[in-house]
Amino acid sequence: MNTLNVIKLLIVDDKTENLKLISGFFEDSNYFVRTSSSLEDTCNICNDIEFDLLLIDIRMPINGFVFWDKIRVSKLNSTTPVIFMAEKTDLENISKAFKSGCRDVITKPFQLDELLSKVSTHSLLQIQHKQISELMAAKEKIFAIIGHDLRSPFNSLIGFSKLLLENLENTKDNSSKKYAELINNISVKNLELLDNLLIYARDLEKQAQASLEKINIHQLISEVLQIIQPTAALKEIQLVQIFGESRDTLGTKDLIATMIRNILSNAVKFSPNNGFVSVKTKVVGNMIEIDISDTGVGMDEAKLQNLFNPEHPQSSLGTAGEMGSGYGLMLSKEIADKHNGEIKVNSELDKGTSFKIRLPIYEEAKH
Amino acid sequence: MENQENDGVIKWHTDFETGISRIDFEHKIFLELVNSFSHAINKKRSDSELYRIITEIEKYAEFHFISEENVMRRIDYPYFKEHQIEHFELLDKFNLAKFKNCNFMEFYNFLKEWFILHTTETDITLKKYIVENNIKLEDFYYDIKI
Repeated sequence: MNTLNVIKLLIVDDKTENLKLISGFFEDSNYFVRTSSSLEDTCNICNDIEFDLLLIDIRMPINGFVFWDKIRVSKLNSTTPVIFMAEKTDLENISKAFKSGCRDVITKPFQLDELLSKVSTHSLLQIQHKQISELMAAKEKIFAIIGHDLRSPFNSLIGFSKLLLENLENTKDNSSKKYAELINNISVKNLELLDNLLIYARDLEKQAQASLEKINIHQLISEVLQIIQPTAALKEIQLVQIFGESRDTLGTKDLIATMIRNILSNAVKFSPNNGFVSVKTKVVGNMIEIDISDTGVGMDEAKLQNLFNPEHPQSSLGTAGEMGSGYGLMLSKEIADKHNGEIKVNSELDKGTSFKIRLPIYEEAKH
Repeated sequence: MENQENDGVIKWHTDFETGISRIDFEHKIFLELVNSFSHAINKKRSDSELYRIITEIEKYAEFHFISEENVMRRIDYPYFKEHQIEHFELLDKFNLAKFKNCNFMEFYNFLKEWFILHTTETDITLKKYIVENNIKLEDFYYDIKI
């Protein structure tokens, strides 16, 4: 990581006068500047130092594009952004530079503010880009640890506490039995929490790579209902669908399905046996509304307040003791927001809960 | 124009003439710009005003170089590349001078030399080529008549 936050800048120009002029602009302590006027020097420096930005003149005995080609194969500077310099009337090279994929072009004669601002903006962007990559790598490492190193001891805990419970079956030592049971329950619950966290992280990643497509809401709901159906059947919960006008939305199918499934499975989870869960759709203005209501346990004011709060994930056991992580609703809210939609919730203790998801209707442009 | 002789002003000279009326016309404007810069220095105008005139000269130079390059392209001038590079070098030098000279008089002297050398050396070569090859520029290029 660039701990000192010093911007490392390489300036390449065959004319030493130009090098002197430009490096003079970056004399303050925020910059560490190296200059080079030959290809050989440039390659050597680039094998030594990882720069945040390269400022390369195009018109040199060996042109600037060749310099960049050589730098790009260097280990340390293969992704370092480049700003090319060209004379204002050198339209041919300016256009070539932009096509080459450089970050920007600075034309001569310079406008000093433009030069300073472009250099600082692009080098800071590069520093931030590197920091994000490092943070992402650290995050991935942590998840790998959670996914494996932290997960596997729970299986031992669950297994051994189960064994312990079996061994204690005929004993009269009730408190030992109680403790063994506690160890077993907590281990099971924590393992579930870990798994849910991993799923949440994976879904977030999916979100980052998501691509948009046209989705028929009714078709998608039907698909999700099929997945939920077996769980509902176990509790003899009746699933009812009341569809209004059929409409499409634009979004990522997997994500919207995840959102509907989360809310629907919550409805099933918090409904008593022989309960009743309904999925209704209707068009409201330019949005399609999906109303998922249950006749379940409901929530009090305090719980409703923190429902979507990522700092206080709410987790409650279902009516049949089903586990949850509290991340499902948080993720659903994020998905709705990303699709310019919204989720609203109404709930009354012991009467039931109603979630209303609204997503923008997508209409293809008529030609 | 006020008293030019005592003002250190450059007067148009036959040595500057390329015989290409469009280019001569632009050179005259360029010369006027450089003179107005010297005039402003003598009148002790503010630095910011002097910098604005430098910008005017810079923009006009860019325009004029492209004008000249267009003429050269039209007549398939064999030394086009060399001449264009000369233009690039001139802009490079202008860039250096612009930031190096805190002294406006020095910058004026630079402009004077910059203009005279370019017109009398490089542009006259173009003139020679046109005369030697008997190229009728009217066929390629319009004349400005103001």
